[in-house]
Amino acid sequence: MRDRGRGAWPWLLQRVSALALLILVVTHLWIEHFMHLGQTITYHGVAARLMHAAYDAVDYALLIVVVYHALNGFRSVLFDRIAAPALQRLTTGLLWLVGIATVVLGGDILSAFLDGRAWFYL
Amino acid sequence: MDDTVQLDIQRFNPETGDEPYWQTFDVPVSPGDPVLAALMRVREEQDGSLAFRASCRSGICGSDGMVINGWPRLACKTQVADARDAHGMIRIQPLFNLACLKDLVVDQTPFWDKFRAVFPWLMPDTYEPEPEKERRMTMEPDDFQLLSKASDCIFCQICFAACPIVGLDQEFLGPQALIKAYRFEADPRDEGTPTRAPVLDDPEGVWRCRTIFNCTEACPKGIPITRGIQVLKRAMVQEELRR
Repeated sequence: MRDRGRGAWPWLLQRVSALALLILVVTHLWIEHFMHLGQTITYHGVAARLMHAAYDAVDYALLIVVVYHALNGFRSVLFDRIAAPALQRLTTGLLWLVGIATVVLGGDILSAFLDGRAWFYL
Repeated sequence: MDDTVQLDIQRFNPETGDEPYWQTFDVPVSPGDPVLAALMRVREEQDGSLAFRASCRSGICGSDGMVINGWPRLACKTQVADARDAHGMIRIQPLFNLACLKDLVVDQTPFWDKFRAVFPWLMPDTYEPEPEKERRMTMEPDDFQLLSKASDCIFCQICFAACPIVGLDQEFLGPQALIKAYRFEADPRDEGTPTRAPVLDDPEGVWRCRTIFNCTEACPKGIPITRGIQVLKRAMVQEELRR
């Protein structure tokens, strides 16, 4: 046994996140383009919508899932060229950092609408 | 003989130590001749030193796998008329992803090592009481359908040569070992999953397959290899969740 389970979870979660992505993207597009069909899109209107936690939850979930799905897929591509286990671990760690930073940055932008102030002041 | 075909063959002689080179032979052919017949004619009539493997000439033994016009095929199942280009030429190389020993003969050792690594035999339940009279391990027809194509493998190494991931990563088990593992994993009489799982559920096992489908496309027996590997991936996830 060399690395039992190291492939199963990324493979399974890539498929689970793909399914979640499909649902979230459709929900997001419906909220953005069809829920208030015909109304003029204004900054204040969007800001008012983003004060509702339920709408924000869809956007936060979409942000987390899309970042995970993209970076996990990118990791698979990189691993076609990176064979050494130590380098693979380093790559995985770096991608986690990139992912967390992206989610924090995205979350910070949304939080200003939800909470009246940015959570991380980035 | 009605016609002539040009065989452009990649030659290599380890005794001279020279780099591989291309040699062209003009070979008379008859309608219906496979590439293997033309190769045999070269060896019998023009150059007895040309090395290639062949045995049954019927697509059963799997010996004459080689790269014909850039794609791994069985020479006995490839018609000269289909393979020749507009200039009447056919280019022949040894199989990819295996070291060339001489001309079209490759070193099969890595292929067989990977095949053995997946425990390619039926492992019955050892706790099942031994029957008193006769042990008949019969299968239901529906169960047999699941593995019947996978058991058609003739060990020709064509899927192994067609897989770009094998070319990229020599540690990868490769499509043939995985489809043989599937053949036994899909067998309801087999209880070998705990033994095979450490080999299959490994970054160099089923997870290294990128579903490129070259193996499925190249397989001369029409085995849906990629599908079998995907089934193995799902089985390994279930194993992982059970652990």
